[in-house]
Amino acid sequence: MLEVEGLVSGYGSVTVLRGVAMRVEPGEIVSIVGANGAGKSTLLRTISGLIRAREGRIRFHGVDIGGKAMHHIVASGLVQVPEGRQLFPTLTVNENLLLGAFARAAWQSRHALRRDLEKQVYPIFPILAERRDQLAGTLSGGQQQMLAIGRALMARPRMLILDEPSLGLAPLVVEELFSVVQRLRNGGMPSLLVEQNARAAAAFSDRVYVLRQGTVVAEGTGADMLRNETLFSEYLGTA
Amino acid sequence: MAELQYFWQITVAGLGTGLIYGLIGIGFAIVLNVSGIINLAQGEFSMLGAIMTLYALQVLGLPIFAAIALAVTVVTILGVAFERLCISRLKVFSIQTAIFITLGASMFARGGAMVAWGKENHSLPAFSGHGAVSILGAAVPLQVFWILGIAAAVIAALYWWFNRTLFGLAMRSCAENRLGAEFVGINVRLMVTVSFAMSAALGALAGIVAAPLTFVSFDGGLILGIKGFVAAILGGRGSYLGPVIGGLALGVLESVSAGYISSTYKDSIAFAVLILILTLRPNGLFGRWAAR
Amino acid sequence: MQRWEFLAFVTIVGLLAAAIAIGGNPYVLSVLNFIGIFSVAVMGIVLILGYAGQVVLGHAAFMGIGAYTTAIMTLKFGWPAPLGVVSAIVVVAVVAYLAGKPILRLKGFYLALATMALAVVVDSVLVGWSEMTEGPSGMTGIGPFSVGPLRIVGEWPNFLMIYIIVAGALALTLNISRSMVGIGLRVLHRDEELATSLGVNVSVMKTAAFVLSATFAGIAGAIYTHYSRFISPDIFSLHASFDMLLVAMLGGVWTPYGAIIGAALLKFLPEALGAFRDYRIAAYGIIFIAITFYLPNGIAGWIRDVAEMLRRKKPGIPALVMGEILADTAAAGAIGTNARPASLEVAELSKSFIGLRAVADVGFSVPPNQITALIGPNGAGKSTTVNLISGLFMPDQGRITLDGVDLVGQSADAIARMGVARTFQNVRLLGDMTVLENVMAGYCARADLAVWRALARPRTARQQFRTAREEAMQIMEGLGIARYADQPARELPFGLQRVAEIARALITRPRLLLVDEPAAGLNDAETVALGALLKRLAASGITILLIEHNMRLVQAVADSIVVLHHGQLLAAGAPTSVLRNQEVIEAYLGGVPAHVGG
Repeated sequence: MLEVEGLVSGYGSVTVLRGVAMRVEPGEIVSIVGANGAGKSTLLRTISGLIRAREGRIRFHGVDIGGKAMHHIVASGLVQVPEGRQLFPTLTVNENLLLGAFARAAWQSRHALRRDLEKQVYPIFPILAERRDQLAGTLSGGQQQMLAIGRALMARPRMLILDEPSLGLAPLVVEELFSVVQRLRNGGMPSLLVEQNARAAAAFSDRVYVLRQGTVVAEGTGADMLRNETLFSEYLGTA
Repeated sequence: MAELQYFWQITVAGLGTGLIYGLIGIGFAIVLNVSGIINLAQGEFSMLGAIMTLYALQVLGLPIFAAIALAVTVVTILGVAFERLCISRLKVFSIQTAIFITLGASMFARGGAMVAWGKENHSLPAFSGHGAVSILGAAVPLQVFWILGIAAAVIAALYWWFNRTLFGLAMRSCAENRLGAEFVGINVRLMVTVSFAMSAALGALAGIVAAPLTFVSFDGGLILGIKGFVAAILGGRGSYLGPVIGGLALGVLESVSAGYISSTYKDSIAFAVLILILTLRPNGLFGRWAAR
Repeated sequence: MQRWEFLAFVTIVGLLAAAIAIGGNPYVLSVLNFIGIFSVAVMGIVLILGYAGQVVLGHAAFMGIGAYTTAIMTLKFGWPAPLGVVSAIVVVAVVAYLAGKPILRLKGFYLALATMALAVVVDSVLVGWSEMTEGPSGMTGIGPFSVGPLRIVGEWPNFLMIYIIVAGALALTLNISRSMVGIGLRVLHRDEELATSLGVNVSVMKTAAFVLSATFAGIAGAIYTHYSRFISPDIFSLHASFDMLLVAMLGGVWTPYGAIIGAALLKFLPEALGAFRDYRIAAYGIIFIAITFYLPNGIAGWIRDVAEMLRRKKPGIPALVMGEILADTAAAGAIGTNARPASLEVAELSKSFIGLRAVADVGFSVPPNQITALIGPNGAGKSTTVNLISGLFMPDQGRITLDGVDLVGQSADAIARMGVARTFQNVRLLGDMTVLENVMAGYCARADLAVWRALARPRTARQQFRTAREEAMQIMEGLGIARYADQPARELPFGLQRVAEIARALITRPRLLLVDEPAAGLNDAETVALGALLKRLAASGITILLIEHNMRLVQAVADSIVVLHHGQLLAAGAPTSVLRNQEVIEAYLGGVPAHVGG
């Protein structure tokens, strides 16, 4: 579904990714864990087209998407929930969600889009339906994260990418978000996510990649990783 | 009583010009909101619109509304061409280069207009004759009603566009959070192009409706443009009503000071206001700006 | 200005004059005189735009104020010309100071628009105040410049006077670029926050540069008045300001030579256009856009690039591995900074941003001469803490003291001058400046940056510049990067950019060094070398606060560790105990949520 090979990427004179290979299969939740500066966010940004890869290939559904503009990548069904959510704080919840559909339905009537909202987003996040006319900036952190995921779902993605979804959220909220991602997976939509909360990520992912200094240093199923103590020492860098 | 009459007459005159400033200010705000650029050539769209209407009227012999439509279309195309050829090529976005490019474009438009249409002042006939209506004793030229009507139509259209269409909403989202817009899959570059097209059309329209009240000259664009900017910064750029309110305030202020003090300093009123607001209230009087 | 430059200037001007005297057209002489006058005004733009990077659009207005002041003083009040010129300089400087101080707080478009507005207001005063200025028709009958019996009348005497002034302006402008003031301006041009952290008082420096730049324009205006003996407002209109800006950009705004080249070209262009003079404005517009895209450093920049290409035989210095370089120099031992290491105390420190408590009631101490590590997961408040200590943010409450001296409420540049230096998580070198210049920039924290003293005492300013260069070379020698001194910083390999940043911090003679995530972007070997370097710095008497994620580095170098989590102090103490603390491990790895699975 998503295949990354030999990816080299970075900013300016800094090389962050030094040849990353990974893949996501249909129906999988895959996590990338690693210390700060390991290159997790850079990997996601390169996949979503925000940064151009220097070397390597990124294929989505067999199509090479390396070097394509972000709006093309989103239109092809690979949608990211970015770090920091990147919502539109002075637009309403409703408007934020509608904009999620822009890439596929720029000229569709609002009526049709509203139906999509009722069908695809509000059942998953009922709280958003309650707050539909509130400004996005006035939501709590957890609700904002739900809004960000809901906005991504409005694009009718074939695969979801989540960058640090648990950052700054209370444990209960994190649990709820993770269970939503699992429900989506059960409904057939795979996810790739980056997490600092390594144990939680391992606990609910099908597979985990450990990134260190721009390369994949370990890979395994979530359960394996949880049992394997060297993973965590590797991760902390205290080994 | 005559005093009051005089004041009323002056105020009404100021409201007329103020609407024009407001329309130009909206043009500024649209481009600034979407692209982060203050287009110093904004006023030239108005100058070109007025001169081209005159040309279509006199040389091509078109009826007035066809002439207006043609002029607005041509200026819109010029605006898009400017964005595609110059603005979109600013690879590393730097405010300094954006200033120079829009300034260069302003000089080019001014110089080009001078070569093509000469240095004389021209005048455009009023859309429906040079009559006037008396309102509470003040003579209001018929053209002012055209301005009022067009301003109302423009504001209504913009309201619909930015609040009722997904495309308009997407343009607002670029202003709000450019990175967020990209993650949603909005083609931000396209939005910038559209914003230039809209502001060029709006600028041309404002120049055309204003022309019968004043005159048209190749070098009128720059000052008119900056006054539009003052209107925008007075009213706040957040809503599309803000620049209009700011424009009305500026128009009345100018007109009153010209009527009671001296018309020599009429132009510098707007600019003194600009300096004062930027240095004292960088967030504008009503809206949120981030001038610092 | 160096001696060879002065000689070259005199020779070229002399040859031109000789050519005209022998067989030329006296009309050309008057063109040369106007070129001289305008180049002095444009050198003002070089100062404020080229050096300080502030886009100011109304220079002709200051030229106009200078021109009209001397005209009014001599014509209406009967003052002698020298007094008229002096009063012109004073008036321009005062207006520029009063207007510049508030306006220069603005940036980018807003600064440009505000200065444009200023020019329009000045213009309308020149037109409107007709009792004094004779209104739009302008002032005639102004006397020539004269001191006692010496009257400067005619093209040749004016030529001599004008080019002496051009030489003076050129020398002043060049001297500034080759002083610490010049370095300070170049830093604030590119990165104001960095300049502040290096002890540059950005607002004072911008205002000084603006006043000086306006004064240049004012002097040019005053000479213009006594040379042409006729002035009118449209000579100093907003459009004239744009023309002057174009002159600066075309010639090359980064050097005063560009001002002369640009003025010469744009003065001759209309002559060359002849019958097509009407196309002048449109042509200027095109030229403006074209040079912005294709020749951003102007003609002088193009000449410099060509000269560089011809001269450049150095095959590029082999990019050595950072680790090896540092290992080589480690034997050199301590890096003397002659500073007394300070201790830092932070107590009850809190800072909230809209709705977010970034730092809450944090207290810790950094003992002198040691490396203290500040760690914590993303969003723990580490960066905020650093920014509070270095004065970029103002704390809501709490105390920060350096050897007992309160830092709270001090400006960031003052804190830098007290001996708090820092490096940045995302390396902040100025890529187009050489490595040497980047390191020298750190000397700003110790330098006298008063613009007027740099002008009045060029010798002292030069001495200061030399000292900075010598010290910079010494430090770079000690860190093994001296061989890269003349390379643009952006060409350095990344690891060495980190080292160059440390060198820049060292030249400030820091008593406390804040090192913000130095290992980010480094590989294992580089990280080890970096650790050795940090230890060496501490051994040579610098107190270090290390903000870091890389636990290996922290373990290797830290004498003590402070852990932040959710903006609060989680643990503090010796490395061994802190890193075994269960809470700390949980904070980093997160707990396993109870109900997730399958």
